[in-house]
Amino acid sequence: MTNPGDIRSTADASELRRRSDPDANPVLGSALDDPNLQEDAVPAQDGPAIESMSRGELLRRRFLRNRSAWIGMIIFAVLVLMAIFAPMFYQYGPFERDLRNSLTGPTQYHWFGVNENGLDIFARTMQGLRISLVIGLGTAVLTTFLALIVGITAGYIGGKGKWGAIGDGALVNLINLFLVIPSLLLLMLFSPVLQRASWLWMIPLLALFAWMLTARVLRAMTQQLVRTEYVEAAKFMGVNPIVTMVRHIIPNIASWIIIDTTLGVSAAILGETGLSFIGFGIQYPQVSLGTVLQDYNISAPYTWIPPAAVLAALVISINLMGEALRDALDPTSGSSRL
Amino acid sequence: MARFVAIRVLTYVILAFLATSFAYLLAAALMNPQEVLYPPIATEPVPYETAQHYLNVRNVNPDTPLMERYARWLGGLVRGDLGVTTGTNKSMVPVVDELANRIPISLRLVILGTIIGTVAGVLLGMVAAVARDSIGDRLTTLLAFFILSLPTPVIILIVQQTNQGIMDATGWGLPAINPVNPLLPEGSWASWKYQIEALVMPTIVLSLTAAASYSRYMKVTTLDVLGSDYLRTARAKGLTRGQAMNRHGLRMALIPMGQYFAFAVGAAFTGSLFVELMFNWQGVGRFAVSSIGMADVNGTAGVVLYTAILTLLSATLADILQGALDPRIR
Repeated sequence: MTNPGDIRSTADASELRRRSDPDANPVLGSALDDPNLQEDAVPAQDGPAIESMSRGELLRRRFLRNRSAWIGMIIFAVLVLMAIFAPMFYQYGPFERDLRNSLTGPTQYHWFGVNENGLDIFARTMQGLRISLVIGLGTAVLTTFLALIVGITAGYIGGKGKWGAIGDGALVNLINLFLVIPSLLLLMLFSPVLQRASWLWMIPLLALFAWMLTARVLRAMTQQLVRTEYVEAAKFMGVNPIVTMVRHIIPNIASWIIIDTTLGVSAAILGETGLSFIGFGIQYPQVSLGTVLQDYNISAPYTWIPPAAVLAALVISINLMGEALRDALDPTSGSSRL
Repeated sequence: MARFVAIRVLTYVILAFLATSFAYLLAAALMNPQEVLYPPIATEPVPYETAQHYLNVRNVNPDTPLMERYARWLGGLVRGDLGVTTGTNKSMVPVVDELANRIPISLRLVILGTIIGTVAGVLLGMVAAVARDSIGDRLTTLLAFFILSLPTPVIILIVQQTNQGIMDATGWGLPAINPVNPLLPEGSWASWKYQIEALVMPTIVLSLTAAASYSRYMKVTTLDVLGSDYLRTARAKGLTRGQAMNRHGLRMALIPMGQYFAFAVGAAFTGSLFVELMFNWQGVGRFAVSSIGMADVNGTAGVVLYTAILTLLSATLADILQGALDPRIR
């Protein structure tokens, strides 16, 4: 009993004291009997006197205080609800032709009008909104995942000796190669081939050509974190590198990752729309907002303004939420706030 | 400085070569230009010898190993020959000729759009940062936010619809399609006037998107510079705000812009692709869409080579700009 750390709890100590002779060992456990040092003296944790806010609560409050966050959330929620429910009750499908009414403006039956092929624009817009939402969300998550793996690996192994530097250099050049590749042309090459299998292939395809800039930033951030004392300490304690990455590095860059993912949703939607617009994106049995815009007719503005407005509302709402999130997570960004 | 640029250029050349090779191999592996020999309406098959000859001349014979076709294409590339158009385009036009016809049409769009967009974006971003929270700043920021939330086709549609509205109301408007009017005598003043007028709307579209993203970046970097120590020192030395900004701040704020410039040209190519499709310009972007659509392996590889060279040149230019601006590199 030389190490005081061996006394595991006050219960152990008092048991020890009860069993030993108090006069033979007056120090042991004496504090336990001191009324001034009893645990009851500490104020109760759940009392009203001390109230600290957790980080999550703080973020939530900061986010909800932002007016543009509310605007973004409301528009986004309305659009999601419309995408889910509108095709369920609307009487026309995206490929039902009403040729008698082709190229007529909005009416009570065709809410957004009919295009020159006799297709109902509202039905197509809502169906396209569904597809664009799924692709946007899926692509953003996958893009972040890819960027996280490449960026953190490159940043982490960069300072680990000669082989680490070589690996880091290879990954950086991979990033540069993907940046040089005209991604739109390769998307156009791949997309029709993969679309024959499933329209969901669009998600990995778009993610494959969108992760580079995020990975670059994540690499730079990781390089800074690897030099901090706690990561060094973890390394010297022999912690597995993957555990270090998950426990020490990712939580530190999580706020940036969340912002980037949010803004990535809108970028993915814009990319998918552009690709579908030129006919290399979503193919026939599915409709995307880009395909709807494809049937534009300058002499009949209602053929393109409603889908374009829905698309703009979607992207703007996501961007509003993303920027509000940035303000909430990073209060120091005030100087660079746009 | 020279060494810095030389190493960068060498890296870019290697990257461009890899990108183009990658694109050729992908196109050759994924596309089926031989399908044109077997149309569904054919009543009897093409004779074997004829089919083989047809495919070999175009270097798209699926019986030849992929690497052998690639080696042949690479041999041509060294001699400045990119092969002939394939796929459903049976006319066997050399891709180099096709590109030579189309590059001037596209390039004027890309160059004008990038330069106007960059200059406007840098100026707007700087003004927005210096006069922070003024009406001009708020308006610029809001507009940039709005433009960046719209895909290029929608911006084009808005511009075209506005033009159409003006034309309906006043009877005068800009030409909505075609870069040149074939009915006007070539070289005449009317023909030049038409070409310039036709250039206005596409350039507006491209420079709007470029200016929107540039003004945002520029605003952020200028705000960083405005809060920096050396600018405060310059003010303390007795310079006015404008003098300090012009002499010390502007250069530092422009350094990161140099790097964005390389991406701006790539973005302008993508933008010009939509512009060419929707304004009916027979440029490289349109050629890209049609050659991928009709399984033209050589044409696709040619377009990728063009974009790779364009990116390479703009990245080099960005490095030179950065070297000129940033005294720490020299």
